[in-house]
Amino acid sequence: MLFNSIGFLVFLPIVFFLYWFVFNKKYQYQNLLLLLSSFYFYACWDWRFLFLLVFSIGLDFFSGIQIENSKTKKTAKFWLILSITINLGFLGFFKYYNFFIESFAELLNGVGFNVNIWLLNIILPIGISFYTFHGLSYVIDVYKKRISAERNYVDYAVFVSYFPLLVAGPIERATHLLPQIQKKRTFNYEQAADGMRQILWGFFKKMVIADNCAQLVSEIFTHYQTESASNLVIGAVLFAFQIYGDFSGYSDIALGVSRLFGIELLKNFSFPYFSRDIAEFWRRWHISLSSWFRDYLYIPLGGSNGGMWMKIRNTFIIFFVSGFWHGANWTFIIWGLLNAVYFLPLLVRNKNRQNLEVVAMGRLLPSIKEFFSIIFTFMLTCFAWIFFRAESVTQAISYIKKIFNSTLFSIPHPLPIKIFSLVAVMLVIEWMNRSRFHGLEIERLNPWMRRGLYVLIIFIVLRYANFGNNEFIYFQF
Amino acid sequence: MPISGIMNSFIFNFNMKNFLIKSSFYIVALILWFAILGLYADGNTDDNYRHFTGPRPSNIILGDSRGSQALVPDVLDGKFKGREFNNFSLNITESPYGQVYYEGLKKKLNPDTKNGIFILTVDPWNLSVNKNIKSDKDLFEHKSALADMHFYEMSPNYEYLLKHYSRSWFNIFKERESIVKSNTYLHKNGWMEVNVSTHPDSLKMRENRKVNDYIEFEKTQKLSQYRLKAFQDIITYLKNKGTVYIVRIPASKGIMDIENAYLPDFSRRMEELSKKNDVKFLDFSPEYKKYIYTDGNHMYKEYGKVFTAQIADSILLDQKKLK
Repeated sequence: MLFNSIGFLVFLPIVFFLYWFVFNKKYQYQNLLLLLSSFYFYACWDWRFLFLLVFSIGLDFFSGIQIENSKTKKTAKFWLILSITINLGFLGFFKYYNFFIESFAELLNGVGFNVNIWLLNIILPIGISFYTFHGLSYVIDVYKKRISAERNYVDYAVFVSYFPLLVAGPIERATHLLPQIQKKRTFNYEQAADGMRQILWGFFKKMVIADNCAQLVSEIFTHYQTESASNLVIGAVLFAFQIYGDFSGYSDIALGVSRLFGIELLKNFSFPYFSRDIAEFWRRWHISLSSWFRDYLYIPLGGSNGGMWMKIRNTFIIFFVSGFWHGANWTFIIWGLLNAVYFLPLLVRNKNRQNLEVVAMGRLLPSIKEFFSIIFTFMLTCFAWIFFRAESVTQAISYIKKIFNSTLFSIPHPLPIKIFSLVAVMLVIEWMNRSRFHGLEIERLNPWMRRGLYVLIIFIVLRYANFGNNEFIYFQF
Repeated sequence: MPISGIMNSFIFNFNMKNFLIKSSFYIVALILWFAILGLYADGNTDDNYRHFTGPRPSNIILGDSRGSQALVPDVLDGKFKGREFNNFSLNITESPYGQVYYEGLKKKLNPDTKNGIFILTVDPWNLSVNKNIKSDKDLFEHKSALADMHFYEMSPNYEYLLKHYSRSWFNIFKERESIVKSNTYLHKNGWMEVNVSTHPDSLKMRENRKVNDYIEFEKTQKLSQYRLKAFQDIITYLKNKGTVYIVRIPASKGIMDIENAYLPDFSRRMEELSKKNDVKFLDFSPEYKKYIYTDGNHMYKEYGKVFTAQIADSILLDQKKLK
């Protein structure tokens, strides 16, 4: 069930009503309702994969208890490794089997052995990368004694399968979400009203920005060989806004919906295109995944404690794995490694933590230096996005090659004035709220201005949105 | 009882009441927006909308886009006094013969139909499938409106608009037929009227493009037992409700050459199928030179009227013989 579908617009009010008016006597009843609703939400895609989800939840729930009950470190480690192996085994099979087999066959063909490969027609269970990471962080946290093992199956199952975050995150931590699930929730007007604002902003970003950009981006990437260089640049820039609108829009809707149920989820985006360097960009883009890799991979690998080479090695590993997490394609891996390369000058000069505060704090506009830093960082990310968007590495390289010719300075045709105007509206509103939790956190405005802005945004959505139930890009990951 | 009164009776939480009242204001405004704009949906809205508005017909034309443009129900209505025809042909991706189209037909056709006349238009493409598709469930028509619509006679049909109108609903209002008639206008009786330039240069250019498309398309296609079986089921279903005619619609020479190279015995197969089912097969493919096509594949509307009249005359002759 997509957030931008009629089904969800019926599903959400029903769950909301039952949650606050029927199951509100005890939080345990509310949790049970959330669990059943989440399973239904998931089953709407493909009910067969519900069994995989239930198994994954059961595995990690049971492993957590066994780890905690273990009398020796060795036994605890056994359960940890078992859980990690099975989790990654499922993820590897469903997501990477064909990729490994194909790559292996290509390698053998390259050295003169002709092999017949056995590819499977595997359907990727939606959300598997996200719920697997939920489960992994939980068992690792129990093993590291950061949290106690959860003994209530329903509470644990809600933590993993809570419908707003089930299919595309944010990737939650048990330390953050479980305590909220295990206490009585009371309806909070401010929280719910701001949740509605966040939902509205999410729809604006998804349906107006992402879906409108998507049509032109698709056209340009499909026919890139006959497009002018300036059009190819437009394609790359619009894809940057498409993926931002799509994924951060999804996250805003997820966070907003969750706030209607009195549950706060982790912030996933913090206006990344206003970043002044690539390190800041990665602190603001897909925050829940970046911090997951930081806590469960980068730090265990030694983090930045082992000198410069260790730091560089670990950074490259993180970006390599991050690229691979996105999908079984070399394009994602190169995208990840390219970002690691961008990081390198900052690491070497020890300047990767120089832009920690919000840009132009307390000022309306950025300084000239900040402005050009933002533009430069944005250009770097656009360049990397070409690999992310391309069907193959060959296509990406060919696309980039075609950008550098005399038509680079021609006027793009057609000039997408409407789309750029809509993107400008988004950027202006987000710039005004760049120090806030989300782009439409405007409770500080007077009520009439606020209402005026709601009406304006709703009108833009109704006038310019694409209502084609377009899937979110991150569902494929 | 006003809304606030109903809410007072069971919502004691002031915060919740406040939230619901304010939200309802926006929700009601949104519902009104969609409800009002939906009223303007017409033949300009999109290429399929009117196929899902009523009333349910007892005399029907089936097929793909060739059929939707070449067979004009008004002409048939004029020839068969007292009967009203509906053209329920969509296009090659959504209405090739198959289970989806069959189920759609059952919902579209008046359930009380007796002695109806049913014209099933065929060409090699609406009985073929893509070779690369592994399962029948992967066929594109499973994503079409025919696969998920429940209501076929609502007008305005909000179910269709909500599920299948992907543009802003403001466009329904902005592009309504009272402002300007679309180049692809779908009449209430299901006829797709296409208005394009018929200058010989334009016709040639479009035909060349279409021929090139079909050269590539043909490479991906194969005759489908699944589609033939569904076609057979449709014939059997309709024979219980009236008389079935199978009609092969011609196309330009360029397209006919591709078809004849792809399935040289297609007309013979249709002839055999019609004999087996004791229905009449009207093969107009040898007469392709008599008509003008807007793009080589679809008959120009004025020639469509002539073509429809010829079909009507053939059917009338057949019915006279039967009497």
